Amino acid sequence: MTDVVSTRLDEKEIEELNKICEKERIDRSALMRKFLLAQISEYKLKEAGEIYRKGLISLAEASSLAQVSIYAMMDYIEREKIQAPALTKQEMEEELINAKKLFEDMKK
Amino acid sequence: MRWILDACTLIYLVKTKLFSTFMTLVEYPVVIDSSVYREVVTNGKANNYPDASDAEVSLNKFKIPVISIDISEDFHRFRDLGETSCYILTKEDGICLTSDDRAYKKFKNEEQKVMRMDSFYFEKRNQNRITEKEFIEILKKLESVNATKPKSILFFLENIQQNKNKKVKNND
Repeated sequence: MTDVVSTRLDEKEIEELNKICEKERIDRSALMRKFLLAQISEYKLKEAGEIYRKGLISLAEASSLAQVSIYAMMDYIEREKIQAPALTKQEMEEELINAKKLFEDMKK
Repeated sequence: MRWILDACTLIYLVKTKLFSTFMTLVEYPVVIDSSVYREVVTNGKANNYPDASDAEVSLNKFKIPVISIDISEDFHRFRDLGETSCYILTKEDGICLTSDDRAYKKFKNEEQKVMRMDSFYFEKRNQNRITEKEFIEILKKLESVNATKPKSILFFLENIQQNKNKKVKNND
């Protein structure tokens, strides 16, 4: 199901759109739809990326939240140089003990 | 016991071309679930990501089993299908290998067996399965794809140095 959404643009903006329409050989309505969908997708990526940056979700969860593939999320994180918070020194030390124990348990 | 790879770990191992060496270092079977396969291989190939085809080749080469499981009961714990299925497989029997600190913490909070990828290689270094030089090379490769962080690398290098210092002291 589709619905009509209207918006108001000034002359200059319409002129810009018309120029792109000619260049892309696409009608104005299709072009606006294309731009809008691309921006929605970018907005979702940005939103998920910010939550990932805060360390509240994993990369896989971020990709699900943004409704993109995990590859697209990885590309976005790399492009925007987003880094999730690193583990603290204490957490790292605990992780080493944990890893060592898991390997020891495997031998048993 | 078995190793369970999440989607990120599988992609990073393929991206860094560490998959083959990784397979020589594991003593127990490696498995993935069908959600991870779909995310990494099927969807990746559909969107023309070259790593997806490389992942498929690597999984076929080492005959990695792809396990289908019902995730409906545990999906509320995670927002992602792949992570939920890794959780279920780990709960059944196994250790989840992840490169994601948030996923690591979540698995720990759920009291599941989980290990970070860089810690896996650090333990392999301690077991003398890889040399210090190889370990540092691996860390560099992992860092190049965001699979480890400079802070983690520094931590491991300090740890290696501390162990060396201890050995020297003991020899004295």
